[in-house]
Amino acid sequence: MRKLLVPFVLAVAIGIAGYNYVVSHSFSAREKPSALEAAIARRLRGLATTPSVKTLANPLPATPLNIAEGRDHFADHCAVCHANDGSGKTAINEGLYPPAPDMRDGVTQELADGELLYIIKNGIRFTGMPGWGGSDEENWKLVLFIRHLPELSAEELELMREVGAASGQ
Amino acid sequence: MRMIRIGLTIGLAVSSSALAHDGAMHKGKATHGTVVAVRGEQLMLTTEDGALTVTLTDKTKVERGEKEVERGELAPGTHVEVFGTKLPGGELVAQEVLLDAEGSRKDHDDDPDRHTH
Repeated sequence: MRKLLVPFVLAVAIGIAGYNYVVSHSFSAREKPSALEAAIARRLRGLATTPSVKTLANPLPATPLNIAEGRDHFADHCAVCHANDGSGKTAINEGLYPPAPDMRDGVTQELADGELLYIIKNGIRFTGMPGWGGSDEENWKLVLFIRHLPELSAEELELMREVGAASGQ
Repeated sequence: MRMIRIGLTIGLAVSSSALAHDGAMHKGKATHGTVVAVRGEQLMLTTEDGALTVTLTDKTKVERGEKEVERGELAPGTHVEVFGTKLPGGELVAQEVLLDAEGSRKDHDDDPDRHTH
């Protein structure tokens, strides 16, 4: 009986803490997740990702053309939320909960190629990231471009602005 | 009867636009020009801004209207519309070259994909 008491008290305490958290916070998407919430969410996402995708390597070489095609695709489809430079500094991302991360940083860059592909194709539930589906070739080019984000040049940013302007962004 | 005719017209319009060029390939503005010469993988054009060399790859599609045609149809004097990717440094690599661009331009204006990608 005493064995069950500790887990029971713990469960009740967690329940009360959770209830207090919910009633003391609004459901506004403009708030930012706490570090703890973000860490738990990332951990859960990692657990929910099919293990085999983490070992997938990008089959496409990082040629200038493959990166540039990924760049144009990113400017056309992704930049509206992630920004051309991947910083996430966009009007939409300001109001997302959780916000998309700065893709140039470790949170994104430390993901395996296969994880990036999986996220592009399947999205992330309970976030603003949709599952785009799409062809693997196009998605692998996006992965190449995401890897290239930390060294994006001013000229490449200008080329992305041209693509965005042509598609009405 | 009139409704059926309208429905058929809309259906034909939708199916013909679905057969049109792959709008998803078009990212960015098209480059318009006139073919001067083709040398191997290089397509030389004259454009409003002057001479331009476009790189053709084995994935480049050459199309007239709705149909893919042989690269040999890129004859000097032909008006073209090029959709492709610009590399840093300015090289334009063609994904799609549309021949007789005046007609092609109209097709693109009617292609809903063009405006959503």
